[in-house]
Amino acid sequence: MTWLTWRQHRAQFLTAAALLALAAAYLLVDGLRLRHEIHGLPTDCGIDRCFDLEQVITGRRNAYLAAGALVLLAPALIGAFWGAPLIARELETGTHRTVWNQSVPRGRWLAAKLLLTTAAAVLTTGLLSLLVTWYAAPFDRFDHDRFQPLLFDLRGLVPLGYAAFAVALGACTGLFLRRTLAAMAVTLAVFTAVQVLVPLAVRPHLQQPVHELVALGKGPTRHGSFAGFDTPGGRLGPDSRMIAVLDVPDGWVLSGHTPQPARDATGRVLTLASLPCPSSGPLPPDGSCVARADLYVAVDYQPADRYWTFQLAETGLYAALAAALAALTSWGLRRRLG
Amino acid sequence: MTAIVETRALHKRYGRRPALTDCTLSVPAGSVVGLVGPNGAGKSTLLQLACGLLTPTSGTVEVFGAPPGQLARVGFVAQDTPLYPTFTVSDHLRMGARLNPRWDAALAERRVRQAGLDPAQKAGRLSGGQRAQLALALAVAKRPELLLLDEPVAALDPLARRAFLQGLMEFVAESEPQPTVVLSSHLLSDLERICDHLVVLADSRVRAEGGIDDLLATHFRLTTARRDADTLPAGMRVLHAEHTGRQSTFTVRAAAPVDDPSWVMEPLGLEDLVLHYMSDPSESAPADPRPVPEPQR
Amino acid sequence: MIEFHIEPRSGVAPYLQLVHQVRQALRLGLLSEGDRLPKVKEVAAKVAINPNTVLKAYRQLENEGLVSPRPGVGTFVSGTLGTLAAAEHEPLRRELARWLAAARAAGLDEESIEALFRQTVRSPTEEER
Repeated sequence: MTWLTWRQHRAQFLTAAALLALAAAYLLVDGLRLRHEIHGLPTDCGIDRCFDLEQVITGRRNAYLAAGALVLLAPALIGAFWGAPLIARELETGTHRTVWNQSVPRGRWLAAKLLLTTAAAVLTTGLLSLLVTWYAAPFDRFDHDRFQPLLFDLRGLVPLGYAAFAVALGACTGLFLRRTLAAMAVTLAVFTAVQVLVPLAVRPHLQQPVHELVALGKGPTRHGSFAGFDTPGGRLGPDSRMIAVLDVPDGWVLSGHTPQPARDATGRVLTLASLPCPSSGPLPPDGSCVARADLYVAVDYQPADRYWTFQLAETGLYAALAAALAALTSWGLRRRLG
Repeated sequence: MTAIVETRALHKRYGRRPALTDCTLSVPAGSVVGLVGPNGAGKSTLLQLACGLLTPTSGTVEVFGAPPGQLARVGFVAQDTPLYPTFTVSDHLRMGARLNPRWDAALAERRVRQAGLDPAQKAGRLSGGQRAQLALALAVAKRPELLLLDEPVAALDPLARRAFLQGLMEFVAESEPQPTVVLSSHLLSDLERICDHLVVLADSRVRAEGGIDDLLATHFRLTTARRDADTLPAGMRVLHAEHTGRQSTFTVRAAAPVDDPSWVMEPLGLEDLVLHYMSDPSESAPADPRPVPEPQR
Repeated sequence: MIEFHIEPRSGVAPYLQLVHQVRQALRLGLLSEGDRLPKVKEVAAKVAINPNTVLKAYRQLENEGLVSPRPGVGTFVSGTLGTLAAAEHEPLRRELARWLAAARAAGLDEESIEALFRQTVRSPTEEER
C-alpha cells in the first residue's frame, strides 16, 4: 500500500517537495543574512529606540509576509490537492472497483492512504513551519505579537494540526461528494471557515483568560498608552472618560485593542471631572500631568507564557478533528457503498 | 457439486428503485456462468453484491459459504475496466504483486506479453482491448478461485474480443482446481461459446437459469397450421404463442423434439431463447429446476 | 491434428458441434486410430471455448467408443467410423439414387425429400422409446 500511495500521488508529493526546497533555500539564505545584519544591534527595545533594527526589519517585511502566507496556504492547498482527490478521484474514475478487489481490505486501504498522506502533509508543513518560525524569530522579538490571531497560526506546532485536519477533511469530503473538483472547492471553503472560526470563537476559551487591572506604562512586560478622552456628543465635557490602549507584549489581549476606559487603582473609571489634573474649559488637560497620574486598565488577556500551552492545545484540537473525520470517512466508506 | 456463490431471496434497492428482486441462485464450482439481460436488469448489481462492493438490502449472498469479503480468492473486473491512467502496464502489475499474497508474477507477465502490451505504456493510452487484457491479467494473476467479470468485452472490437475470451478460457483451463467464472455480457454468441451455465435477468428478476446445453436441448420453435396451444401434446410447455390467420408459432419447452407430419419443430437458438425470457414478462416463472424432465442422452 | 471451430448461431450445443467435427474428421479420414486429440487446455484457449465443453465432448466421444483417454498423456482416437468411400456402401448408394428418382417423379422437391428423409430417420427411434 505504501508503494501504491506513493505511486498514485507522487506527482503531488514531488511538486510539494520542490516548492518546499525552493522556499527553504530562500528562507535559509535570507534568514542567515538577516541575522548577520542585525548581529550586535540592540534587540529588546521599544519601537522608538531601535532605529537601525527597525530599518533592517522593515526592509524585509515583504519576505516575512510572503513566508507567513506560505504557512497559511500550505495546509489549505494540501487539503485541496492531496486530501480531496484521495478518494474522490478513485470514485470518479471507478478505480476503487479495481483497487478494492485486490487482497487488501477497504479499511486497510483507507488507513494506509490516509496515514501516509497525513504523514507527508505533516512533514511538509512541519518543515515549512520550522523554517518560517526560525526565519521570523527576529521579527517576533521585535514585534512581540506572535500570540496574535493570524500570526499564531503561522508558527510552531499548529500548522501540523491544520495539515492533518485538512487532509482528513479533503478525504471525507471527497468520499461524500464523489467529485474531485467539488471536493476541492468544498474542502477549501470549509477549511477557511474553520480557520476563521477557531481564533474567534474557540481559541480564546482554550484556557480561562487572565482578568487584571493593569497599570499603564509601568512594569517591564506591559505596555500601554493613554489615548485620550471619550467625546460623547462630539464635545469634551466633564463626563468624558479617559481612555487608553493596552498592549501585552507576546501576549494576547482579548478585551480588544480598541481603547479601554482608564481606571484608578480601585478600578473606578476616570472621567475628566475626576482627573486629578486641572483642565481649562474645552481643552484637554496638560499631558505631563496625565502622565504622572496612576492609570489602570481592566483587561482580559492570555499571557505570553501560555503560548506553547495554546500551541499544544490547538494542535491537539485539530488532530482530534482530523481523527473524527477519518473515523467518519471509514464509516462512510463501509456504509455508503452498501 | 458445491456452490461457490449462493444467493437466497436476495434483494437490492437503490433508493426506491429495485435493482435485484428475490434472486435465488447457486453457482456450481468450476462452472462458467453467463449473465444476460437488458441494461439495468441487475447484472452489475448481482456481480457487485457477490464481490462485496455492495451490500444486500435484504436476503443473503454467500461466497465460498461465507459473506463476501474473501478478497484474495475472488477476482473482479469491473465494467469499463477501470485502471489508473497515469500508471504504466508494469506499474499495474507491481500494484497487483504488492496487494495480493498469492500473486503469480510469471502468469501476469506472460499474459501481458501474449496480449502484446508494452510494459512501459501508460494505461491511459491503451486501447479498449488492451485495457481489458491488462485488467484480466491483473485479475487472474491473483489466482482467484472465483472470477467475476462485468461486461468485459462490451467495448471491444471482434478481434480484441476473441483475444480476450481466448485469454480467459486459457486461464480457466490451466488453473487447478478449475476456477469458477461469472461474467455478464450482451453478446450471446460469446456466452454460448464460453459458458456452461446461463442466467437470464430482466426487470431485476431471474427469468431463467440453467446449463446452456440443457436449455438448448429443451427449447424449440414449433410451426404448424393454426391451432390452440392446449391441443399440443402433454410434455410440451408452451412459453409463447403467436397466431396469424392460418399459422401458429409456438415457443415450447420439451424434453426432446417430437416429430409429427403436421408441424415443423426446430431447436431454438440461444439468442431467441434468451430474447424470449428477456422480453416476455408473462413468462416470469424463473428456473424451477424440474419443470421438464432432463433430455435423454 | 484436428482444428475445432464453433458456429454460435447454429442452435446446436457447442459440445455437440465438437463431437460432430470429430466424427466428420473420422469419416473423411482426417483422423485415424492412434491420433491424439488436442489437449482440452489448447482447444479452450485457441477456440475461446469453455474447457468444460471440450471435456463434455470428449466424454461423449469416449462413450461412443471413438476415443479413449490416457491419463497424463492425452486423448487418443481408438475407434473408427465407416468412411463414405467404402466399397460396401455402393449398393446402398445405388438404391438411394433409385429411390430419389422415384421421389422426384412423384413430384417431391429437394426440401420435401429432405424433410421426408429426416422424419423417417427419426421415427424408428421414437418407436424404440
